[in-house]
Amino acid sequence: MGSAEQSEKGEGASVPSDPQTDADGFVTRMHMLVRDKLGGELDEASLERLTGGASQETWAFEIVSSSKDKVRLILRRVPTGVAFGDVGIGPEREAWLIQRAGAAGVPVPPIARVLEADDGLGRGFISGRIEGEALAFRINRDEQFAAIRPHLAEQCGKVLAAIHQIDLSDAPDLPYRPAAVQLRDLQQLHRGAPVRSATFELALRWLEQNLPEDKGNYGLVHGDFRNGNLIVGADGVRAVLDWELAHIGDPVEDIAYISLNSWRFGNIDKTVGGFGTLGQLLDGYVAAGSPRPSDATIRFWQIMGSLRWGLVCWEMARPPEEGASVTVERAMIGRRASEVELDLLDLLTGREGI
Amino acid sequence: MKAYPTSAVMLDGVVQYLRSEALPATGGDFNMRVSINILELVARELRQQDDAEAREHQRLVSLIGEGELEALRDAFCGGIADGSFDVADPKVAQHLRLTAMDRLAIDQPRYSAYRRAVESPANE
Repeated sequence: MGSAEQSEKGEGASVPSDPQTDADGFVTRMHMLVRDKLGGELDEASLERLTGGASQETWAFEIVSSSKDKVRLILRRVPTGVAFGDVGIGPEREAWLIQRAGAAGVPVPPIARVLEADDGLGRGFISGRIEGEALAFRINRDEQFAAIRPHLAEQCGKVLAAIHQIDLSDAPDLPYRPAAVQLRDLQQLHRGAPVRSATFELALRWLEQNLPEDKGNYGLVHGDFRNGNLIVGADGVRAVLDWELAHIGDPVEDIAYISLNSWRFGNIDKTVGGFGTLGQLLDGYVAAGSPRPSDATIRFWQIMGSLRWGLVCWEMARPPEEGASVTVERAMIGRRASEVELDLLDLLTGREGI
Repeated sequence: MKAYPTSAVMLDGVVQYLRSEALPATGGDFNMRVSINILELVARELRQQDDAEAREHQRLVSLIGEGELEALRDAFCGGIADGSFDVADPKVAQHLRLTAMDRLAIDQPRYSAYRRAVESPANE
């Protein structure tokens, strides 16, 4: 694949494994893992590095099981020796959450194995590969999804309700990120940003003055719930991906995030993901037993989420070290902070209504 | 002597060549496509930035008073942060919006919110 080296965010220093040379023993260890732990044989020719997603390598591969069935799997991993970014929860907790979400009826890929140190493959997990489309602009435009598109927002509402109702009493430690904590982080991020934006200052001040009263009604928040992190088939949402930004916080954050213009991919009038309306999403959310949030709270989290994405755009365009160059993809993402400026002004001055 | 052709016009030629010859030769390589987008952005910046900054400077002078562009930008950001400039003031709101629009005209003129604002500049 032409863009095999790209990753959307995370560490620029990672040296990707190359199956042709197998210099780091990746393929050999994959053979051993599949044979010893998954009870099958790796089809080496099927091993393919996928692009994008997260601060991790993503690989697709096939194994032939002991009963001669072909099984398609996904490996997400951070190679040994590559440091984790300071944002994600790590693959072990991510896998735990995905399993718990699956048990609660949330569509997720089934976890086949969480990597252990002995596997020699770094940290990560192997899951089933869900067939379907993850590219947002195809979900929003392809004919094969035309019939399901009007139902996607309601489905997302139901999925979010299921996520937000997950019982976390025996969960591993998750970051606690209510509004006040996130606002403090964004203030710090803007202070350290390479340039300053008056619109971002305005948003920070607005957030400070409109901080919702702390009602303590916190739950699991996916943290990156948007078009682009969903797998969709002709029958609707088949999987929710990328749980690495999950945290404890205000669930309304997820509702607001999938409603940002940044994730509408040109369909500005279709508030949710560029495929549906907020009303449809909230109908699904309430029908699945979660409380209807106020417009004001949704707006608050839209402004928080939009500002966060804008500041992340600049962070991603930062060279990995002094004098080093940044990839063309990351450089271009840096210039998307201007999109967020206009979105924020539309939200703050009421042009973009709830 | 004034330079001829301008750097923006020279970049147009590079973009034209990369798009019609080099991109197909790479089979539509992702990084090649992004690189072409960057060169187009730089060409827009070369054409538009001086005027955009002159307009921004003029607005800041009328809001704050005389000064260098960078210093006035900082003062405006500080004024927004401490509330001495308020978006409820139409002059402040207009400055923020026009500055964002000029920035987007260079960075991402195809962005949906920019297109909407250009096509139906309601209440501006």
